[in-house]
Amino acid sequence: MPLTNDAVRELICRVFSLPTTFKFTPELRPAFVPGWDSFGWMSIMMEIEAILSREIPIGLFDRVVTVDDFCNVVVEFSRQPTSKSDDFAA
Amino acid sequence: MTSQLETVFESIFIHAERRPGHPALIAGDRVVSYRELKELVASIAGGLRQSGVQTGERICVETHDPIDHFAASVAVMLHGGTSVALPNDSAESYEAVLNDAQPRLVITNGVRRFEVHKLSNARSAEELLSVGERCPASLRQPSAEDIAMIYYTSGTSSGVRKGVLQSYRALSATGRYICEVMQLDENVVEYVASPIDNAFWFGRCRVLARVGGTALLSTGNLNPLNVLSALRQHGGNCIAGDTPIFVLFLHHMSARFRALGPQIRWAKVASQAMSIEDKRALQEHLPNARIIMNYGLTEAMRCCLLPFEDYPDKLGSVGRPSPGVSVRVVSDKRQVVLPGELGEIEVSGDNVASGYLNQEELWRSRFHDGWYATADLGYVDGDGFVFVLGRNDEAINVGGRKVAPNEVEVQLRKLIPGRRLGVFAIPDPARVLGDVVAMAIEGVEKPDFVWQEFRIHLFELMPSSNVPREAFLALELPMTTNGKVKRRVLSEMAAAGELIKL
Repeated sequence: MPLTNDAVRELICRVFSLPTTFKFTPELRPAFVPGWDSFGWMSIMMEIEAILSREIPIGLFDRVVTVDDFCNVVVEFSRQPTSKSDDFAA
Repeated sequence: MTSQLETVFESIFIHAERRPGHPALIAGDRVVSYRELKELVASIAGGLRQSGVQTGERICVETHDPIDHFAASVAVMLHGGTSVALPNDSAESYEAVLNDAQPRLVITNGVRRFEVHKLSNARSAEELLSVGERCPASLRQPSAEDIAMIYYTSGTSSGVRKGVLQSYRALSATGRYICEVMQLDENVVEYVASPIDNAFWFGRCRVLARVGGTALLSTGNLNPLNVLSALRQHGGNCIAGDTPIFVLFLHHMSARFRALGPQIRWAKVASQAMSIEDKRALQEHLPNARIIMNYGLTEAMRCCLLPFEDYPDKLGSVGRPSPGVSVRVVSDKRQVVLPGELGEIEVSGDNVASGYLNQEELWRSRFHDGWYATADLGYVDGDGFVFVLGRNDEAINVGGRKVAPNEVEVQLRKLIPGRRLGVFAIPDPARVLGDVVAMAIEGVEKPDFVWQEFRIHLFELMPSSNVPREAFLALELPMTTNGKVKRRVLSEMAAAGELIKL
């Protein structure tokens, strides 16, 4: 099922144990979210892969600068049919 | 002609002549050639000169753009200043470094993570470029003992961040022997998978500049998927990073990592411990790579190097001392111990830093007679290979025998899979041995063994001094932000009756 921006934000809050009052500003970057380091990237990617039952393709996050970018990319990815995933290992 | 003391700005200037159009740095869509990097560095240096910055003054660099960050750091050195990287992990440490370093200027740009009201002296890289002159007519030749950079330690064990003074001598020596041992050449295209404010990050960039290679740099925080993507996109043939990034690749992205493996010719693993199993798995994933692991500290960079392929029987070690570096192990009385005996690791050589900023007394307590006391616990075997077992100040003294808690944890984790646990010291209930070893398992659920029976089994697997005397459940293990167990806190919790005895 396609995800919404709100659903991805909720997911971020859950993965990084953020309070529900956490403020998502347009310029917020992943690096500025407490706990969102390289392990944080892994955690959230694994969550998304579990929810969508699909492997995230290499390159999906290449142009992500802000958390807003991240939400938009994930929402768009969740809308794509499964066959569009170009997993590197495939 | 390259001088014996090769500075990073000299390397850049040399390759700007030899291969001007070759990419030096790539970050996202931005590609900077050696010629452009030279111009960028020289212009920022010119801006510093026009801003009245004097030789020897400290300049903090805080930019989220990795290319600007590298160029600004090098420009500070070219101008004759001392470059200080500002940490990016918390507002507290950021302010602490600013207060300690007291920089003449902060070079910044882009988005600042922390609102700190002490940056009236901040100048953006763009601002410096706008006033900057072009390249100086001749390169500055610093003396070997001039301080090029200051990197702050994370302060994990002491709780205090220390500004480590890095001389041109140390930077040049480590750069030279890393290139030699890695057998790097100008065709290297390396992803530098390390945080921008980390000494390892700058170290890799300057090594790549030394051989005229290309550095692929992260534009934000490190996303493992983006690392693989950039390597694929730019034909990368080298990865350098801390152990955790390789562990992520091996355990969570194995298929994707393996698919990229054949194109990788070099890999450099920074100094955090990696299990032998993971080292072998890394070799298997990167079949064509020369994989080098190093052991070092900010105070004594790259003390030992371990090329995996050269010493397959010594993968449990951190390798032999680097060229020009000496390593010894001493007892509590600072006497050199025999091969195989545990003690504190000491280091001597050109790689050792010049001191701590504003903490001369602390430096004197760690550096004497030309040897730097690392506070790491380990031993040297009969073949000269160094084994690091953990922090000496974390060692548990059981009746005079030193026990490395990390080592005990590694064994216990194999026996109690799927549970987070920590090993710490408690006073010997029998009041004979001083301290003894204890273990805490995270969670409220009891493990599926009877502790006393399990403990008896442990005596078959480890020296008796290593076997935990008591075992506890802890609702939540106290951990540092780096994921290390806070052993002292566990000891305090046990003493306060806050842990549930098994």
